[in-house]
Amino acid sequence: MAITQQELESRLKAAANALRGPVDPTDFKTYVFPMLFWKWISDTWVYEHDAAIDELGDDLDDEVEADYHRFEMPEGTLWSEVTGKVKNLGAEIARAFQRIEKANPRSLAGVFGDASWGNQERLPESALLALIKAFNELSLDPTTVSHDLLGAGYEYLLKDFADESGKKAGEFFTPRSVVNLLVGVLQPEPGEAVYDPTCGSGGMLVATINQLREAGKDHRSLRLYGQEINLTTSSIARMNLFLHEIEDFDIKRGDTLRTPAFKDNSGAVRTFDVVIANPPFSLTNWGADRWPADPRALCGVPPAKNGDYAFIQHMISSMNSGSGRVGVVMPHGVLFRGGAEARIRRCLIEKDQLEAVIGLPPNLFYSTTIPACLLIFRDKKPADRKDHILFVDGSARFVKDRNQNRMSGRDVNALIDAYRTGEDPDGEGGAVRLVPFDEIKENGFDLNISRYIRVAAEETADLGTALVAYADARQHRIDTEGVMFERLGAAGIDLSMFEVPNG
Amino acid sequence: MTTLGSVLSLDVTAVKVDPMQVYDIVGVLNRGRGLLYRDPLPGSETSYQTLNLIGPNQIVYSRLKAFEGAITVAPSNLAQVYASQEFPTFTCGPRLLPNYFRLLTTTKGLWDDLQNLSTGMGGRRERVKPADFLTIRIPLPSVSEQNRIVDLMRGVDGLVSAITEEVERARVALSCAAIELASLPADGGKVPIDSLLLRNIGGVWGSEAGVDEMDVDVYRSTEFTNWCRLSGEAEARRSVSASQFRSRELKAQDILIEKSGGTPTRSVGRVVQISTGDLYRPTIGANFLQLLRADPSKVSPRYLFWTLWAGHRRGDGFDFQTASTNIRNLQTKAYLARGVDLPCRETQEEIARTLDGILDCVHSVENEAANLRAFRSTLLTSLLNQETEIPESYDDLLERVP
Repeated sequence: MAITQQELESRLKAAANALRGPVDPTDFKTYVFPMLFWKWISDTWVYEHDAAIDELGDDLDDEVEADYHRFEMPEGTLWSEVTGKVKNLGAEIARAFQRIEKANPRSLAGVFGDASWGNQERLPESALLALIKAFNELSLDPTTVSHDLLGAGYEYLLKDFADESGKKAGEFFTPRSVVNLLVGVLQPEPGEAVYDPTCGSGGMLVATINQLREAGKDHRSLRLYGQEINLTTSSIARMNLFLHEIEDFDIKRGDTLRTPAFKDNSGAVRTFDVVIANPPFSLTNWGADRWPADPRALCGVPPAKNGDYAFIQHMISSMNSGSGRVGVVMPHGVLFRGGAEARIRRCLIEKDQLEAVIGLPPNLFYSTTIPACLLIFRDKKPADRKDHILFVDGSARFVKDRNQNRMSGRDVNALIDAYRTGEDPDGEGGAVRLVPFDEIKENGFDLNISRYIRVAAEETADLGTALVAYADARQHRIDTEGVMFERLGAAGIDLSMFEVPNG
Repeated sequence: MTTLGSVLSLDVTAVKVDPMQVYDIVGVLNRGRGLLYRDPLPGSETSYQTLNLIGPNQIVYSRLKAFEGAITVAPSNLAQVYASQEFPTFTCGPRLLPNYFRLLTTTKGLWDDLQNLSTGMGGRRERVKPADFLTIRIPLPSVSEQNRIVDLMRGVDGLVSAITEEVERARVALSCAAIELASLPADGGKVPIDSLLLRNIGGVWGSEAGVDEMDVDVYRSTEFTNWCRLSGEAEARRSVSASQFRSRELKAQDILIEKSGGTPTRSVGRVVQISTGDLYRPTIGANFLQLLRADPSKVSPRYLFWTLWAGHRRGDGFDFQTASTNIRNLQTKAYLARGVDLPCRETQEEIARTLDGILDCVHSVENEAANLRAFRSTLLTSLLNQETEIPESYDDLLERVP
């Protein structure tokens, strides 16, 4: 009996609410996602087991049965086997997780993260029981919940936890409008390798899948790679991809700037078709001391107290020659800051791989209110964009919400169109401009968007046009006034002060 | 006076949400300003199980925002739109014309009624329940009288729209004229603006009144309008030292320039010029403003004002604002170091007079628009409380006009 997305979301929300009170909301994700994932692989295993029995009956043996299962569940590790226990439940769950990870070393090692299930201080037994009870009411086998639905439910919870966590959410959650914009601009194609060096909970990677699906293209041939420094968050990302029915992915844990996890045989960073990220803004203590000898410092070593250009250069280094493109979310400061960053910026512009600068509305993100932008790099820019940079001002394209601004689907599509066509989607030409290299050079390689785009005010029209429009409006007002006077007169209202005839 | 319950009825068409459908969603603007058309909503992306279908000519209000006057009557040519169940809908009976009730939704009287109904216990605001809404009493003339009122007010509202448009067009004409006649040359001029000043100093915010040596009125950018004048008297009363006051006391013809503010579409750097009518008591500008006093031996103070105003309208401030946060700050020193090519004094005065003439025209149309809105509101009140009765002969006009 399939359930609707609404039902699923309200059940998941109820499960999270079971922890409310004794558990800090910022820890919800640490406990809820592993439980959700465990319940899903357990219910799916039981479903696959029943299918195997239906098909083979008495002929079923362990070896044959293994072919039916995506994940191996050692005896005693199924949800129903563990949650029925009455003593040391937290410790029993932790043990089951260890055994499941061990039985699936290639796919599930470390997937359950490092939550302290046995620590009653952080997770009282009552809260754990309430969480189990909530999940008991939710069957997650494939006949009840499809992959699409489960993936969407997972995303819903991620957003919900982000809303709960406020500023701290920036570490694991990028607003989906920004993700969709970046993916829409970079347009991953079937068969390509996509890499997010600061992948958080995997939202960017999932969005690439969703976009191909929606375009009716084969998403299963995409290969996805990500690195994430935080253990819990990297586990959440892996579960996220599993739940979205993605097989070909590799999420590694670690510090991308100090120890990049993806290397080729020669020891250089590996390259990908699409490199996409929303790195932490202006990271201090990012490991500058090792960079003078690092080949990723293509244009120089960024300041020790600010890692923005380290991420940018890491991403450019990770871009394939030919097909490669990079999309990165950055604070506006990278466009105009001086010192070492100005030198790096100039060098990158001179390499002619920076294709576009897209200004975003203010206050979109959880972790910061400062306005941000997207930088788009391409190894091979199209001929008409060579020696130019496209500037797109999206700063006014937002809807005000209670705590944050957000971009609507329409806003996102308008900016994607502006990037693709190089023209202002509103047809006014004011918010999009392809700027030649010489002009950027004249401006000292400052990329501040307002240097190149004036938010077009109506008064940039010429005086003659403006006076004609004013004269039209005035005449229209005089005509309308006549209509009103006729009515007021008919209503018997004295109009003598206007010197117009009554009636 | 009649209760709403006797002339209209709750009439909700709840539609079960289909995940495969996309729904056009509306909200209701406050102060009776009509429907707000939102982004289409895919059924698969909402947690609502049902949505209310809003029909043409139906009355709809926001249960939560009713206290702000979020009530309207849907247009008669409305396409299929939906709202959440927070938006109950009602259909008028034969004794109440939807267009007549639409006029009522623009009156403070109805908003006050809604506000009274939504005052809950202990300061918490309750939603307005449909059953309570139906207890509101309204004036209800005959249907033919309602028809006359609707038609008469349509004539007045047509003029309100037309004059609003005229104000906008007049303002744009002023901007274009100022940019054409008085703005700085784009490639810079010979004389730096700051060399034309007797005084160039940032304002101060001081302390609470009564703390320091003397109390003064303080203008802030909140009192700026975009159209060359202050919106009213200085709201702030602060205390400063005598020396702070001496160097910042505002005099007629002084220019105040906004150093912090702006929006994504309008740069920081709005300017106003102080007139004697703006000075009631000793007055200064606040800390986010810069005081500029022109040296009259070098430049016409009014011409200098127009130059700065035109530059701001043109968007010059975008090149001189730091925006590391949502607050945009003007790089005042660099902004005022730009060069200007001054025409001869006579031409400066002539340009200033021309622009002042257009500005007077803008202000007179603005004033006319404000007075017309006040008239509209008074007329509607007097029609509703039947102080003004429209004679039946008005129907001759209704027959003549389609």
